[in-house]
Order: sequence, then structure tokens, then C-alpha cells
Amino acid sequence: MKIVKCRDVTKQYGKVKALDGINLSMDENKITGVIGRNGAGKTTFMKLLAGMLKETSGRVDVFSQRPFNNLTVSVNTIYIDDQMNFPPTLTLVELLEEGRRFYPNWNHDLALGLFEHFGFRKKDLHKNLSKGKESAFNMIVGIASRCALTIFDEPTTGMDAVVRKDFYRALLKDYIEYPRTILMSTHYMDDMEELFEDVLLIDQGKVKLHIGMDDLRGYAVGLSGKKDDMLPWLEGRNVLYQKETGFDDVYAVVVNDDQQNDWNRMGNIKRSAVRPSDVCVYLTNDKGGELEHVFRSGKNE
Amino acid sequence: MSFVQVKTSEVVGKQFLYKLKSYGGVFTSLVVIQLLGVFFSLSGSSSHGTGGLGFSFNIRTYSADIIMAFTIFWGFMTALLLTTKAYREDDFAFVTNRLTSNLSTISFLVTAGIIASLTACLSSFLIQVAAYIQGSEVHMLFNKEDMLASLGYAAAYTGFSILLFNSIGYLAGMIIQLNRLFLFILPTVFIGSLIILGVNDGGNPVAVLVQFIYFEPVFWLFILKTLVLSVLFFALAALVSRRLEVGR
Repeated sequence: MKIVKCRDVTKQYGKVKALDGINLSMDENKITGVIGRNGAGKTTFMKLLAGMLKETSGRVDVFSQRPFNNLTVSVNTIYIDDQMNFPPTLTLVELLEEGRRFYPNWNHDLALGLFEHFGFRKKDLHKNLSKGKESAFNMIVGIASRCALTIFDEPTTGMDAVVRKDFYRALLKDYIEYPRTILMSTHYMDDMEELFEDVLLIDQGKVKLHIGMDDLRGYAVGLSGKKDDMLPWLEGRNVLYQKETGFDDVYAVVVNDDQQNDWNRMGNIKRSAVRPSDVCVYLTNDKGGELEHVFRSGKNE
Repeated sequence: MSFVQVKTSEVVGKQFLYKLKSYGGVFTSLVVIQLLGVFFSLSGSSSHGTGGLGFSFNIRTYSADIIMAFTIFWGFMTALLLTTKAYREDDFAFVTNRLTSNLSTISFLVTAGIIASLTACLSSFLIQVAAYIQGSEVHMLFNKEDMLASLGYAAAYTGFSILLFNSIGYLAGMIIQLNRLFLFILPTVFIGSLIILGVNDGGNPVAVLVQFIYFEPVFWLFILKTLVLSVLFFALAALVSRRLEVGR
């Protein structure tokens, strides 16, 4: 069953198009990483799925229903970000109790276990938590609710490395025990590589890539060699990134297209794997050039 | 994965309890505003005295009118407050849609209003005690047999007034949430209409409302009028809220 279906979905804020013609569908019980630059439209996309925003045009279907203002979608979906609006008068444990009352699949033992593990005090208030602690608490709510569609928007904001690792493990363990569809946006893709089964790369409001993690690992290949060898070879190929690495050396990232790439004719060009996170960066690079331009232009004036 | 279905009424019930627990501040403000009302009432609403050779007396009338007025105003402000983002979006941390959110908030407002109207009426006793402590001889204006009935009427009038002002506040709040500009437009239109329409005497909206509701001699008609108006305003507010997205 397709959990999520989007047809020509556009979301506009005033004149700005945050999402522009999104078409995709997602299978159930997969962990999908939602990757993209700042302002690419990741949050807007996920809020649409959670029914918090309404699409400007097109059609979003979650569990074959329109999510906006939909109770069935709401009870089967949870959206966790770093701006969770919990009532300031309830203590942390009371908030977990509320979670138990609202979500039928809620696992309270797990919630309390994680609560203990991350060193929360029962009487603490959500608004008094530090940034990292707040994220950890929201994460507990997200995991324990066991919603059929669980959405994490930047769940690791402010978490230290240890908590982050624990979070991945907790999520994975509970996911294996109780499979569900999980969407997670993050800028720490290297950390989460092992977690993701699919990757959705969003760039400037459009879907740039929606493939399996394994396909992403083989999506591109890094090549390095002497300029004289490289430049003719790169001619006419799909080059994602190119940089001079030394006096005479060039490093380039090329889309791994088996039919086109004749590996035998490459001669002195060395091949290397490209990390998926780097592929994502290369795919979404602005054409405006590198940061140095900003400083160079400043000097000239 | 297991897919769950829930009933609207079930979620409304859960949200209602959730709100009772988490909106404690609403009752704190109620206590504060009623104590303030009691304080202002202590000097009495009218007083006249006279004396003769070797004697003098002074009659002071105490009433809980100010407390009731304050409480009705509190009802307006509370409803307005609950439409603000901080409160409205509390629901969206858990399970909700706009309908359940509105219904549970309105249920909460009605409950709080009932409590407020009861405490407002009972505060008249507090004033009597205070007057007694000040050294006055206290006489009630109604006899003991009528007391319960009078209290009941007073509570009903206050309660339904609170409900009406709840609904006005709720509607105004939702309109403001739709677009911040209404924060300026609504008061401007209101005060402007007071001035412009007030030129023909009794034509301004407040006078019309007071005439229509509070000059109604039949008790049940008063109840009916406030009820119908409140339902109308709440329904309009719910309609407006359907367009609101979750900003957070």
C-alpha cells in the first residue's frame, strides 16, 4: 500500500513557492531520509503530510485521505520538530500520560524507559529544558506514539553525539519491533546512513531524487587524475562536481551511468566512492559558485 | 503497522480533560479578577446617611455587580486568549482536527463559565462578611426563602452573559488569528461604530445589544437569546478556524 501520494503538489506562501509540483509516492514501513538544503521545502513538505498545512494546489493523500483537518490522519500521524507546542503547565511525565491517552498504539513502558535513560526528572517542565534535552524528549514522544506515519523534522537539533547515537539505536530497535513509515529530515546524513532505506532529496521545492539508499551509494562515482587525462574524458558526461585539487590534478564527481562509462578506456584516472551525503550536496549546489566569491567581490570595491 | 480509527466524540472528550488539566492559568486569573472585584465592592455601591439629635445612621448598599461585570469581562478575555497560537496549537501536539479542537475549547469555556458564575454569585457572601467585619449591621435585601432562587437567577444571568461574551471573544480572536490586521481593524470598527451610530441616540451596537438582551423581562427569552447568539458566534468562529494552518 502507498502510504503517501502526492500529485502536482504546490505550496505557496504569498508569492514564494515553497513546494513546486511535487509528485511522489511512498511505500509503507520504510524509513525515508528527507534531505535538502536550508529552505528547500523539507519542513513544508512534511507539514503537508501531517495535515498542519494545506496544499495550494495539487493533491496530497496520506492513508488515501486528504490530511488537512483530518482526524484519522491525525491519530495515525505524529510530527515531531523542535518547536513542539506543549502546554507549559504540565510536567514531562504528565505530557507522556497525555500521549498515552491520545495515541492508541502508545507504548508507555518504552516511553518511561527512555525517559529514565536520558535522565529526565519527572517534575521538569518542557519549557525549562535545554535545547538538546527538549529534542530528546520530543523524540521520546515520537517513538513511543508508534504512529503509522511518524515524521521527525530535524529531531537531533542540539543533541550531543552520545544522545544522537542512542536516539538512532532506540528508533531502529523500536522500528524493527513495530514497523511503521518514518520520515526524517536531517543535516547529519552521514550519521543516519545506516538508518535510511530510502532518500528523498528536495531542492528548491522540487523532488531532485527519490531512490533507495543503496542506489544512492552507487549513484555517482568520484574520479581523480591528471588534467590531460580527465578533461577529454569528462566531455559530454553528467558531471556533478569538478575541482582542481593540485597544480595539474582534477577531481570530479560523475553520475554513475553504466552504459556511458567505459571504465576500461579510463587509463590513469582513479575511481573512488562518493559518500551519499556528498552526492546530495553536489546535486543541490547553487550555481552561484563558492563562498570565496563573496569575499573576493568585497575586496574589489 | 496498524491503522487506527477514532471517533470525534472520543477525541473531544480526551481534549476536554487535557484542557482542564493544562489551562490552570485560566482559573488563577479568575480568582485574581474576582478578588479584585470584591475589593472594589467593599466600599459599597451607594451610601446615604442621616442623623438627628443624639443619633446618626448611614445606609450603604453592597452588591456583587462589579464582580459579575469583571467576571463577564474575564470570560471575554479568556476566550480571546484561548484562540492565540500558544493555546490553540497545544492540540496539535497530539491528536486533533479543527472541529474537535473547537468543540473541546468551547466545552472548556462553558465549564469555566459555570464555575465562574457560581463563584461570582457566592462572592456576595464574602462582601457581606467583609461589611460585617467593618462593623456594620448587615441586612440582606431578600429573605431566606427567596435566597436560593435569587442566587440561581443571578448565577444564570451571569453564566449566560459569560457564555455570550465567551463566544464574542472567541470569534474576535479567531478573526484576529486569520490576519493580524484585524487586531487594529476590529477595535477601530467597534469604537468607530459607537461614535458614528451613536449620533442617533441608542443606535450604537452596545446599546442595541443591551436593549435586546438585558432589557428582556422574560427570563427564558433572555436564556434563549443569549444561547442562540452564542451558538451563532461560536459557529462563525469554527468556520473561520477551518482556514487556519498550524504555524509553529
